Amino acid sequence: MSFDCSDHLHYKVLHLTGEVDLSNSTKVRRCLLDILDRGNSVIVDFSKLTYIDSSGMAILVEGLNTANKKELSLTIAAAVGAPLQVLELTRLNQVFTLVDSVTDIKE
Amino acid sequence: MNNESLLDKRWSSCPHELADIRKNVMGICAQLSFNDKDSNEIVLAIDEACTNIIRYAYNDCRDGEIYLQVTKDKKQVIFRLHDFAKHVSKDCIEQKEIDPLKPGGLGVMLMQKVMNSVKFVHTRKCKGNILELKKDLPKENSNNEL
Repeated sequence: MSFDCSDHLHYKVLHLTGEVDLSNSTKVRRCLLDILDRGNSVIVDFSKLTYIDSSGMAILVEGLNTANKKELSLTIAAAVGAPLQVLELTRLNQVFTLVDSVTDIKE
Repeated sequence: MNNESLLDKRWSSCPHELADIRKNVMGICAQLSFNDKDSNEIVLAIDEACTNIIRYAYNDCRDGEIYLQVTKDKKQVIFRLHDFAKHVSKDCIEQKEIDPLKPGGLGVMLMQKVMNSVKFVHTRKCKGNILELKKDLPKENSNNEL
């Protein structure tokens, strides 16, 4: 698993690549919370994510709760395949804002 | 009637082993002709079970052991996950309604939702815990020999 950050409009984009599970979800958590602590709304890009388990989803939920408290946003982009299935099974697809791609966010 | 053995393998309780466990389970799903959606869900359920073993049975201690046996009968594939930690409460895998926005319980909820049966099958005399997860075989695969 690897991740990197870029900018899109006034958002920070967290690109996740590969598989997020218990072995690496702490690193993702640190990065996500760091972005939010700096006062940035965030788009989590799933386009290169092939797997995420409940430890990864729990971190995104923590991120969403943190974002809401700070009046920021957390959006998930390009969820397909196994990661989308996890969102649907946990019903978190009804909780997060999902978009088809990062560039779908216009402002 | 004897079940057919599909896998018999051990891993350490290190989280870095999860990727290899998933790879093995995905291989079995392909062998049994599960479609992509069901395969992803089965892999997720076994990964969640192993994650719970690492976190709660072994308390994140990496020198424990996870032993996975996979068999099939005419109707189901049966995953048996053995750990060698202290007995955990059998209640911890009960199906509960959870709030996905609150911490805890997501992994168990996923296992219960995806598999046809999830239960502990160890006895008091048994060292450790044995979690058994069963999934119905795809219709075209049922009753067929591999």
